[in-house]
Amino acid sequence: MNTPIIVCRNLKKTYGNRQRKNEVIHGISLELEKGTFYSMIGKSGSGKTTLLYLLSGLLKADGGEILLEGKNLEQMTEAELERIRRKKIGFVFQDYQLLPELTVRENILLPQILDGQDLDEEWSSQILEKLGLTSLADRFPDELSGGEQQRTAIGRAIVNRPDILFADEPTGNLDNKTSEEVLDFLLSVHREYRPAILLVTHDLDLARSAEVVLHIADGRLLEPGKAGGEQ
Amino acid sequence: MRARKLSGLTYRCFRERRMPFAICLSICVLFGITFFSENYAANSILQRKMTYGYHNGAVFDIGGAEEKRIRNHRAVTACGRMDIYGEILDPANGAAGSIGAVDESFQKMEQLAFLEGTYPARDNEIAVEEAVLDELRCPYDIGSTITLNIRYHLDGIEKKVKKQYRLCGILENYSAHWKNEGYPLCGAIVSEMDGLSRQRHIFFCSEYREEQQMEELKWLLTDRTRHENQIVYNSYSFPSEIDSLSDAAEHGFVIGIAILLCLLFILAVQLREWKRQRYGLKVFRLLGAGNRTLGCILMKNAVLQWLIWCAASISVCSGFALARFLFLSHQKRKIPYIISAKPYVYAVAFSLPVVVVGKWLFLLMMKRAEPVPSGKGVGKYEDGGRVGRKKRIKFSPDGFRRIEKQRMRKQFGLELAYCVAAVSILAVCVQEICGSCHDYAVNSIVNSYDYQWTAYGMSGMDMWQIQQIKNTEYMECVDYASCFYSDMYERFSIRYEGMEADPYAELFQPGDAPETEGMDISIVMLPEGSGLWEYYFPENCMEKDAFLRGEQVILYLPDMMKSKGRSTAVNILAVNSGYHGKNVLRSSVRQGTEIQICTTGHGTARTRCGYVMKKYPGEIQSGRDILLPGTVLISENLYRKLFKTDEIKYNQVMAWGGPQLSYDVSDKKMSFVANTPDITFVNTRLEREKYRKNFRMNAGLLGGTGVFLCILCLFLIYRNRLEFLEAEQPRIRIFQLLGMKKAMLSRLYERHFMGWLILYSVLCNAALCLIRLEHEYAGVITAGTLANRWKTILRLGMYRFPWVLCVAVQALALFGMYGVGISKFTRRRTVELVEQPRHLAG
Repeated sequence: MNTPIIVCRNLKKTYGNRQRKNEVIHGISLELEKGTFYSMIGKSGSGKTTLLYLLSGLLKADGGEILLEGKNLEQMTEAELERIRRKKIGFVFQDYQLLPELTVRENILLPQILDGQDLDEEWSSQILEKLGLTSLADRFPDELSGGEQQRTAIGRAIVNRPDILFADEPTGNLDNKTSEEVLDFLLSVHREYRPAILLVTHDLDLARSAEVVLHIADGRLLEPGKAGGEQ
Repeated sequence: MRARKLSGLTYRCFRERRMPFAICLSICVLFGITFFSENYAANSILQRKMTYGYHNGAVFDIGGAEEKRIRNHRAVTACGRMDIYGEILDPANGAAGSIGAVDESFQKMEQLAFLEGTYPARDNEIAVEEAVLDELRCPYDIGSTITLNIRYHLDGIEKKVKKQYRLCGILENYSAHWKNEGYPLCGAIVSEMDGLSRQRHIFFCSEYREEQQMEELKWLLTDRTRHENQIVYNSYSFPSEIDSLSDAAEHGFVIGIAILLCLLFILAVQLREWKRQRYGLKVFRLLGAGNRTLGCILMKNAVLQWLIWCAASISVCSGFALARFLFLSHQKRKIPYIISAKPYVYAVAFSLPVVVVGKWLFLLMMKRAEPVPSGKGVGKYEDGGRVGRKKRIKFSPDGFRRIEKQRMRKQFGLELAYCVAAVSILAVCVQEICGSCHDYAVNSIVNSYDYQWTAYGMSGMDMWQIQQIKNTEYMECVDYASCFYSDMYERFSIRYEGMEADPYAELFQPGDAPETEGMDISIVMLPEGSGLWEYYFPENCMEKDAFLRGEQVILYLPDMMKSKGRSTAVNILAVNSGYHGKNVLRSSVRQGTEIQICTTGHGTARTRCGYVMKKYPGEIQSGRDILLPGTVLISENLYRKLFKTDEIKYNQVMAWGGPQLSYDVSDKKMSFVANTPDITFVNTRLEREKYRKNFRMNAGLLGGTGVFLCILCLFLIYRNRLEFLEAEQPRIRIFQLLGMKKAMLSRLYERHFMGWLILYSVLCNAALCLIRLEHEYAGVITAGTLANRWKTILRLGMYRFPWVLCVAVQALALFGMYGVGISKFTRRRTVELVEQPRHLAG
């Protein structure tokens, strides 16, 4: 068994105000192991995106604790969280979130710039090659298709060799064929570099590709299923 | 029907909750300012009349036909008659004043101010002007009996009578305020004249509603037999010397400022809700409403709101006006109260355009709310438009920053443009205000006394006359000297060793004179007891005794400049500012140089130069400026030696006094001292008033406009930055998601802003300074290198403006603008990484 990278216990999250409270996460406990590909599936409004944001430290939980490699995210300062986002975590979003003024290669290298590292051109070339973007390296995002943009976003997410990759409905804006391509790239990235991946989706077929499928409904985690559709 | 429905919808969607407040405030401000300015003006007029008398026009020695024409003129509101029949004689049989009577309508105009008492009502009563009483050494007691020697003509025969009167009133020196051109005014008023009227004067009040009417009045009185200057105006109550444009500006700026202020209220209120409104407009456009239709409907809404709240505001204003009236009616002091239709008309007439313009400006600022973003403006990427880079930049930390800079160039450029505009406006306004302030300050120093009396003539005065002037009551300062300018009586020149080779001396040689004739100069004899002694004599630089003995003299030989256009020119201003350029000529005369003073009519005298004066002793030129470049100041001893005379006359006499030393008083008291026609009387108080008025007008008009425009620029910067940061939110979110450090983020957005601002400000000021001074001193500063030119400009600039104030105001504005930007940015920069879902927000 792999060592857990993220452990959360009795996680709770409530939206709203005093008069009207909406508890969207009801005491979820979970362990994400290093190098494992997780997918999280659930209906709209079931709390899957909120859980992802909580696990990545983008949202503060109202109860429970989240440990990233043994360190409590809740007790971390803003600067520490920033450092974790630069070094340990990679994000892939549904709307890509690329900078239009930067080329594909530059977008991929951006996290290194923000981290103050020397640019690793060789590594970026490898990523470009792996993602099939070598020929598009000097193009701007608005010259790319949705799938290509998402592949660029994946490249950007892994350039700093994160321990965990959060993907929030990365295929939400894409057609089936492109979605499959993106999933293939995520799988190949996982195979190659072995980061833990948490893929949030509501597409059951995509979710089945993961090693572990997490079901979430009404803010509660159902029994985890195994790959191949065991639920 | 559809339009009405849409109108109702838009009214609900675009309702600005604070707009009624802004409308009410605007109307109240407009009403209040007009109301108070109207009352203030009325109060000022009353005060002025109380101080200086109500009459504001007079025609002296008038005939019957003219009198009728004046009385019937539409601009004339009241008319009174003054008849002169004789003179009051002083003990030396000189005329101390005129005696006459005034008619009932003159008295009803009730405007000759009495120190005590009233007009005569009985035969033996008399009201006498203070100065005349003073001259006659009569007691100031009302009810006392005074005996007057009166000379008058009856049936062509001169009569002198001694008559006793009961003093019933003491008049203020009213005649001091009239330029009566030698026509006598009543120094004493009786109820019945003993003799026939020798001269008749008509005093009248005119409303002065318009310039044209007064001009017409002037022309009416200026017929073939009468010279125009026989109609005169009381210079205090009739501001004839202020041109109509200034007058309009002075009265118009109050309402102008009020309008601008109201515009600001309206804009400020709208600004608070611009985001909501912009979103609403987008949605409406998306649903098919035209921009134009929406604009019209919003405008209609604004007008509707104005209509409703205008009525409410006017009611409030009326209540206020009534309350003020009730309050004032209980006051003992007579304060004029005017409530006319003007404030109401102004409040209603100006507030509607203000609301409409405010709305229109706001709509312009929101730009066209396109349903599908056009990709123009800041934050293009967010809208899906293509944002490329103009040139390839190697991707590196520096390269990344450059890319970001390039992207924000337009945003920062726009902000800088606004800043530069604001700074320029402020610089111009402040400099103008400082200029007029400086003029006023200089004038206050130069004309520190209320009245100046100067006597300059060929004959001059003796010392005993000077002494008498000094002993005159209210005379505070008397300066005297003897000035002889070359060619006034004869030619004066100096010679010194090496003069032939001195190019400086050439400047002072008349074209037709041979070089050996010497250097043309003026001679000023400086007496020790004169106030001018302290002003000109350099105590620390030369020996006083040597000067008094005539062994040494002072020379005023300032540096001179050659100009391109002419052969030579003297620029006093530049000389006083210490200008040193290539084309400056300096005298070779030094301390100790032996010089020979020559006169063509008398003789010569040998002496030495004790001191060379390069510039005037004071920084500011005052009324004591009697020196021309090329003047030799000599002592009384040397004067006697040079002109071979023991009799010393002082032909330059200047006297200054306080408010009591009016023209009338000084004329009466001085005429016996100096039998010279060259007396000049200057009412310096009036001069000062003019400068003060100019300064106040500049401060109000330019200051108000400048501040308004600056606030407008701030407002634009604020809106621009707000919009920019709104558009930047997704980008900032990406940076934060990728873990960008806060410091780095700050550096990215706040880069060099202040530095650029200061640089622009400095350049802008320098350019303004250059333009202004080039304009002002064009033709004077013509030579010199660029460095010299800048040096001169800086020196003259320092001389001209209080720069500290100018820079302080600009710095304040700069920091203000910067502060607005930074504070807004700091708030906007803190982006929530994950937004709370709206449906769950509660």
